[in-house]
Amino acid sequence: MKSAALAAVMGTSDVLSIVIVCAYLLMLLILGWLGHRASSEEEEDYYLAGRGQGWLVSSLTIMATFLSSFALLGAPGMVYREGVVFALVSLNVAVAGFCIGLLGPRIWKAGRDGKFVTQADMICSHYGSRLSLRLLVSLVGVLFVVPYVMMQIKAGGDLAEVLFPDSPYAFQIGAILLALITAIYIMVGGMRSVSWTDAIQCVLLIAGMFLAAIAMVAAIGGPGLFFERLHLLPPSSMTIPGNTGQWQMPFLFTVCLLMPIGGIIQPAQWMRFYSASGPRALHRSSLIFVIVLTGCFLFAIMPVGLGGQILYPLQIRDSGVAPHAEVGAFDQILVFVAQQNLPTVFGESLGGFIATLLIVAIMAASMSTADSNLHALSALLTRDIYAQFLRPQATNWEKLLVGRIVILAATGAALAVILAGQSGEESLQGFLQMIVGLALFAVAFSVQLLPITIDMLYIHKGTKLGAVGGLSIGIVGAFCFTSLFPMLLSLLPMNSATSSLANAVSQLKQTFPMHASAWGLIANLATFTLISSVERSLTKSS
Amino acid sequence: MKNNTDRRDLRLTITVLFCMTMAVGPGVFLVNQPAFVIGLPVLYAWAILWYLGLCLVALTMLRRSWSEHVQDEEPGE
Repeated sequence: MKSAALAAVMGTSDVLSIVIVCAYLLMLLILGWLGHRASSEEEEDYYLAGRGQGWLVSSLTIMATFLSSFALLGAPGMVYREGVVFALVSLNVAVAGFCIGLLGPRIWKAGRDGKFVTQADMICSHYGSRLSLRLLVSLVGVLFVVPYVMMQIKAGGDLAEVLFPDSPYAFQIGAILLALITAIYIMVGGMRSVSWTDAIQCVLLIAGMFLAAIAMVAAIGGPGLFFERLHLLPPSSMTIPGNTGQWQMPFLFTVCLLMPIGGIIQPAQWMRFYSASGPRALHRSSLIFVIVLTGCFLFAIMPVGLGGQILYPLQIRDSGVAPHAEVGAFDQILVFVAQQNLPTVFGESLGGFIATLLIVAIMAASMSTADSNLHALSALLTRDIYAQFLRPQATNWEKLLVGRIVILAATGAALAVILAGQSGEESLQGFLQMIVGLALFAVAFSVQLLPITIDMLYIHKGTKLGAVGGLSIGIVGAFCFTSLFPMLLSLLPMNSATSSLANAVSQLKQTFPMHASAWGLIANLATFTLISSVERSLTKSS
Repeated sequence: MKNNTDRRDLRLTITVLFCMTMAVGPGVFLVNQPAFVIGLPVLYAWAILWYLGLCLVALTMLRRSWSEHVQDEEPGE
């Protein structure tokens, strides 16, 4: 079990918890059904809500897709572990907002003119590639989407364990319920249902962030005491590279610039750009994203993590940094503080109520990411693979049916792996571990689409061969700098070539501590530019 | 119109890159010390300062984009 953190709080209000969670899940199903009623059985409507989403729904669904359960578990845990450096990391969210304003309107216009539905539609149409580029772009999409979906479904199981610690099957029931309800409303109403539920989930999520901050400051004794006790933080908590030493400037800089770009040019967000009603909706979304979402991290998540350090000081030793003995794990700081302090500060009933709301907010974060990515995966596999290579003559009805089957099959497969991994199946535990690793580096792969995107929207000088070469090298380059690369090497027979490759990568990592996405992007950009220039000059001279 | 839009996007990109270079790039070494300003750790205050700067950039430059962009490309809306 991940944590029995809220067990004590929830003990007195199990019924209330069940009522709140059921009301939330029921609301999602109702929104799914309303989305279905407003939709027509057209592919463009199912995947892009008829390209008519206004600024409010667009901004909320883009924000909800951007935020995963990391926002309420991983992020406070990172502040708790590293300290104030996370305030700087929070600025990456603003970069994502600017990307929406810069890229979104141009992608929307190209999508409208070319009637594109997926990311690969636009890229392949621009470069005139039917096979190689489409498969590569689809691969990038799958590398991004699959681990994300699996992690969010797993988070549903973990949350159910926290909510109902006495139930022996809480994890299984939670994961199945989250996956099933998400799959149902996507299949029923497509993009409309996904966006409408995302909108509600985004509001819940933001409310949850601020509720968590208020609860934390109240647990410390109010804002005065909070600011006073900030002075007790260790010096390493107040400077870069943070307590663990991970956040050296090059790493911080590349993470803040590249991770948000990867999070914005991934397949699900790209489809949100197509589905907006116009540039105005995307410009407004961009503005709201920069101001609201960055503010949430700076003014809500930061106090939660720093408050955690105040209440439960870290154990900083030469051997490394560990959470307070009572907390157990860094990313459990929010639920742990809720367990320890909410009943005292707010009373048993209100404390339990707030704790349940926090859990629902985390659930909302998981579901809003899972639904957008499952929906994008459906478009990707149906339009980019099935309708392109397997059944080019497929009718509209057939494509929608296949799209829905993809959602069901992907959800079922993800669920099966997670449940089997949880039950101790050794072979699947290893696979699940790899998926966790992939989820951590998902944006390192999606960011490899940046050179192609900039070229398509602004420069118009790249060639098909350059795009294929750059993207391939970028994916491989990024992979070499992820933590999965040593895992892969350990499976291969060690010879002089593999050991010198491993040494070279590790040397480079030490000399220039940048994020994996930056390494891939450098290789990608160099290859793309070089091949495109050579190809253009050869064409000119001939 | 297209050139104007390209130039405006380039200006916005350069401005954001400058802000990020100052906020989380080499500029961060100007304030990297365990001190306090207005009751907050200096790095936290530095992040808030650049957040406000980025909000200002978004408010001015993105708003200008709407008015130019919208009439040209969104006749149906």
